[in-house]
Amino acid sequence: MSPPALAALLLASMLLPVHGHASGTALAQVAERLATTPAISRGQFEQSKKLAELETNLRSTGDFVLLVQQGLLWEVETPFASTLVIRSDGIRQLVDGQETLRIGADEQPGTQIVTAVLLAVFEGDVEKLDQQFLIDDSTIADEEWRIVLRPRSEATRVLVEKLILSGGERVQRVRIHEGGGDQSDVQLTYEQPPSPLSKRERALLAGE
Amino acid sequence: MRRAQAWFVVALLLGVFVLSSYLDEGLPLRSDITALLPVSDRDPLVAAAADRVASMGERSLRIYVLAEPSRQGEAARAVADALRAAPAFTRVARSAQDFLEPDARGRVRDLLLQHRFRMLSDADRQRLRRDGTAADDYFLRRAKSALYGFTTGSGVAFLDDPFGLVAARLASAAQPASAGALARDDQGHFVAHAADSETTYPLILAQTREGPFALRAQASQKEALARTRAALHRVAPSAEMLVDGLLPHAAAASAQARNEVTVIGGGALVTILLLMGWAFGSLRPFLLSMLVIGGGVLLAVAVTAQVFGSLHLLTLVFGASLVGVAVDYCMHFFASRAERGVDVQPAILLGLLSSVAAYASMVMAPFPGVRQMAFFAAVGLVGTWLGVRWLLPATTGMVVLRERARRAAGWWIAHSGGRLDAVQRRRTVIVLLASLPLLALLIACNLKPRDDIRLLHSMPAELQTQQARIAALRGGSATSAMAVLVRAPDRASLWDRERRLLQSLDGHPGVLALSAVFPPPAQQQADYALLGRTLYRDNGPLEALSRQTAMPQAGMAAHRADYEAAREHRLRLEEWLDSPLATALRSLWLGEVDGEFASVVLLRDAGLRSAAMRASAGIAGAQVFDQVERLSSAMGRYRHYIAWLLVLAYGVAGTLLALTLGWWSASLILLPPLVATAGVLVFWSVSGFVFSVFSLMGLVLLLGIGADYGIFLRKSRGDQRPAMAAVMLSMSTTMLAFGLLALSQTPALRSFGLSVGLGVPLTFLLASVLAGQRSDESN
Repeated sequence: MSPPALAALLLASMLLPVHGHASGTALAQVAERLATTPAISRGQFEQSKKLAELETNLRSTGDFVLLVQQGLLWEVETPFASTLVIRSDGIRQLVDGQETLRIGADEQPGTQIVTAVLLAVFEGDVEKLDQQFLIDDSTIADEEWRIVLRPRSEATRVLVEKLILSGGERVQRVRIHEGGGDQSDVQLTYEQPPSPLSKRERALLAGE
Repeated sequence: MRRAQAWFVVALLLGVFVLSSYLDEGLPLRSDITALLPVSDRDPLVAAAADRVASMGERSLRIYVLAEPSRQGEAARAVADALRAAPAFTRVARSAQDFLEPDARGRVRDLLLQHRFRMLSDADRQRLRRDGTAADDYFLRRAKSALYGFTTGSGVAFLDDPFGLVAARLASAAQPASAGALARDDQGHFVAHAADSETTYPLILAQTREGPFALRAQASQKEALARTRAALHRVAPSAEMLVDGLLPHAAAASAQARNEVTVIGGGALVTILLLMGWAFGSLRPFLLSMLVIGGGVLLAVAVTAQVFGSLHLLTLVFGASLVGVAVDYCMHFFASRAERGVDVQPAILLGLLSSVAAYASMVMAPFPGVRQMAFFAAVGLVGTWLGVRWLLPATTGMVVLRERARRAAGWWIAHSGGRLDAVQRRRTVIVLLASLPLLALLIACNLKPRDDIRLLHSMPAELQTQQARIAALRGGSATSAMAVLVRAPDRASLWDRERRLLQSLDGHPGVLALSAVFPPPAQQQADYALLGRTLYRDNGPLEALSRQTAMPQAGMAAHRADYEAAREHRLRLEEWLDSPLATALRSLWLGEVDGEFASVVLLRDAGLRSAAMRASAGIAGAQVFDQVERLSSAMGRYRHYIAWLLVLAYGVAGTLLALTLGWWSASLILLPPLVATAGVLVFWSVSGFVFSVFSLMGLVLLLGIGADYGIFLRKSRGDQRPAMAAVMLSMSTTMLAFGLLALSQTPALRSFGLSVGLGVPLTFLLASVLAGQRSDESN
């Protein structure tokens, strides 16, 4: 091979994109399939919770509202009404308008991780997820995808042992294996187009 | 003589050998004034508490990253990463989360889970106490929403904690009390508000692994900060980093002291070189003198570091200047070397003995600093004397005092003491003696000693402006080194006393206490019992929860069994102290000392003083102490001791001289430094300068120098001119060196320099007047 050709080949090999670890690629592929998250998303959820060491599944249904860069509102309707507000600065739980739990992100180590992860899941923020998790397994088809994520750090593992996400343009199913041993399986149905926020929702999401 | 020379070389080699053991890690030098102050208060617990307070305070740093808003995140990360990479720093935190090591979170959860029935959050406890069974509904709602709601990621299985007690407790448990009430941004990162309160800047907390006063540690801390600054400038070139803590002050002070010692030491060296060159017309005496003094200082450094374990910077300054006085011995040796029939060695030995006796008497002082300096000076003087005695006579070659020096000395003799006859001299002595009570009265009425430790702290202008900016970022709150020592005959009453103290301080964020985070046994027991009456009573909310949800009875039964099993299992203090939760507060526990239990409650806000005083007055075993006040009063005690030691030193030297030379000569020798001391004290009384313990130390040095002048002038036989020439030489060098010290920016050195710089010429003047001719030699 002539020296100029060799140089050209070397140069070309340098210009070619370097394929990193499979995890990076799978996340990138998921990111490609996800549509841009609109400012407001809302819909219905169906959750099935399996408690550690028990066979029973506890089902609940309700609505959720996501306001990008603000927070997530989780309104359980059946079998028992309650509201959960997840913002980057913490988590609030309300029943009949009364606050039953408040965990500030600045108070409890770990809450920040949880809120960041949950918000990233719903916002489809692949980059943020990549900071906390490694891809353990992935199935990626034309329209649909499924990824199994494992925490990168011990600090995250204490809270979330495994995260399984699947969907198409949006995240449609979220399975969380919690650090304590409980498991949640959540199915999401999106409302198209989403109706605007009510006054109450806006206030809750603003942390009021 | 050859053998003597060999001995000197052996001694020198020994010194070098001992010193070489420090080569690896450098001399164990320290620069904090506090290290000089007494280690033990009368009360060992107060001493221990003060020690904890000092080490907690002196090691913590706040670093403000002043970067433009768009670069702040990146800049703060760069700074935090660089600090974490430096072994000199530890516990680097950008947010509350960072206070827990990542791998410690699991341990924290397990600890809280294990003791969940005994560690209620304040809010939960209050609710259960106040509402009793009426709170059932609230906790049932909490349980059901956890069961059916979305995950809150507590990391605890529902069946281990259905009522969410751990999650509620976790919310307060891991709060790093040392972070106090710092502002945070929406990501939980610490921020500081600029004066306009619109802008915020990232704030990073860190601790130095060692205190900033050990010079070796300080050097690596400074280096790490420089590297951090470089890392910051790589991501944000225009950004700035302000460091708040003792480190910059300690670094500035030691840099300043080192600079000044170099300049002043260098100045003194050049003066000695010039003057000796002028007097002897040769470099030889200078070089030999430096060799001898170098040997003495080397010996003193090596032996003192061995005996005391570490060497204080001030010991080095004060001690080395004391040993430097030994240049007088060399000058006398050279000045009279060519004189026929003159043996100056007995006078040198006497001078040495009187000085060493005076300093040795100070080794008895209960102050480690005084002891170290006195020891250093005594060893150094002996080392130098060995050189003068054995090395110098063995050197070949002739050194002759030049005629010009002889003439100058002659002129001075003729115009000072030479003019007085025996009667006039006697009269002068009487006048001087009579003036002493008058001077003493003047001093007693006017001398206002100041022992405030803050006066010893001088800040370079650059540090001052930085300090002002930091004060603005801190929001005006002044940090304090105050604490309350709480003690009690048993643990239970200790916790009770702490609790009462905290109650009266009303949850002020500047208060750091163990019991604010560690639940005392009595409270643990009360919490457990409270749960037994409420959430865990028979057929209570636990069973209701099971009935109202689709959860099998078995899960609930298992949980109740957990509750029953925990009846005897309480969280012990030691277990908690070992856990990552206690990292920031561990040193507040003093433990059991002499049958008493004690803990420290830190007050980090100067504004807490009066409230703490009031609260402690009403609580047995509680005692407020202020580190600054404590050190200041120690300085005062220090000053008193030195004053008495100075009197003692005069007594010892006087007795020694009286036994060898007779009372009359002894008083003629000691009167000049004594009167000069009084004169200097008058200066301190009438001038506005701060008179402190360091001014007194200068007077101690004056005794050593002044006595030598008298001894040499009186002991010289025949031609007095060589002795006078030597005294004039040494006076000029001493006065110049210490006069330079009086210009120092370090207040301690300045006081010291002023005392010596003024006292030495005065002593010289009086000594030359009193020395006179040999007319009263017979006495």
